[in-house]
Amino acid sequence: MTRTNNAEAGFTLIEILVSLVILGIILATFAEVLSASLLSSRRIDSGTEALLFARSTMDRIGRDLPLRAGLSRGAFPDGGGWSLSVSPAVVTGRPAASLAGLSTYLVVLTVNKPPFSPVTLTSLRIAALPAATP
Amino acid sequence: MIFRPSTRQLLPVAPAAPGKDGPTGVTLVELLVALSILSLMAVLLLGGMHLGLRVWESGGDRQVFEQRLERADGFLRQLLAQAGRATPVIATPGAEEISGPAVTPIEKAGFVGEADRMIFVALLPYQLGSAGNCEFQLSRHSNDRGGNLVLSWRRNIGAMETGGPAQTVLLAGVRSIRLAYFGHLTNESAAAWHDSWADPMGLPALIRLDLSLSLGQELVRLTLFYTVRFSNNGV
Repeated sequence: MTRTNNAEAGFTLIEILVSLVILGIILATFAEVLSASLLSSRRIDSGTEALLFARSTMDRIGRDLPLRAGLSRGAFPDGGGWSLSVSPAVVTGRPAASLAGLSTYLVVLTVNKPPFSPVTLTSLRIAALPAATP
Repeated sequence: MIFRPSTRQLLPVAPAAPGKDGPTGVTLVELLVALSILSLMAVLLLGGMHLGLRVWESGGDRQVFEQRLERADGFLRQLLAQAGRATPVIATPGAEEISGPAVTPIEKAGFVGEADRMIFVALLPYQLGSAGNCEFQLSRHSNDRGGNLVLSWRRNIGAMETGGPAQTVLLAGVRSIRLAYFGHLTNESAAAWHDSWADPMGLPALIRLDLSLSLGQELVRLTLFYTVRFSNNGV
């Protein structure tokens, strides 16, 4: 009897290891795709939230939030925050025309809700000048 | 040296290997072990697949939900921004327009706001039909899947109403809504938040909409603000 005939037919250790490695690679790819899709859906989520918040805040300025020059900030309970900068609008190096007791403000609102990149909305607003003391 | 023979004698005698002469095959134990390993792997894989599928589906659902939310918000913002504004058909031309553009339409239009619904007049967006002034109502209709945020409208040209009311579902899965109105009523001096608004002479300057929406098992709470641009409410 020769040696080969004598050996029992079966898998060798190397074969099993190779098959395990291949299986592992397949599973890892699967998990990678899943986590990527999860992350991107979370990104879209936070992006929509940031956009809705930014739109609503822009509507509030000059209504229930006073339009006053300055910088204000806030934070969200679940991470991220926003900053609102109101400054007198400047046109070609000079303050924009303040006509009939009105002045123009540049309003810049940045909303940051990770993992989405920050959303910035910019607008010009007109407000009555504070009453001048005679 | 002395013990060697005796220890050897104590060792059990190895039994003769079975099947050396007979046909080679798998024993029952080997088969059972293989089957149990296979079934364990299958269960694990199935679990993983199931989880993956659920994550995938919920991601898709979420995306649809976000899209609908964003669109509903944009539509409502656009509609409310021009609420209270009259078409040339309705606005009486002449002296009123010069004295104050906001006075005439508001007198005719009216705006009734309550905590759970509001009625306002605005131009019908051209996507929904021929342009014209319509009376809109925003409210929540409850159903077995939570509820819908419904916008219904009725054409309101002059005193004559044409056609029946039409409606559209802005958002589904709405558990509750709550509306509040910012501005000053004609008898007030400073602007403040109100739970209801019934002032024939003025529109609120800002409307707050608190929404709680169900997305699968999750409850999403949102607070949205909408400007009424044609409000004559000097805030």
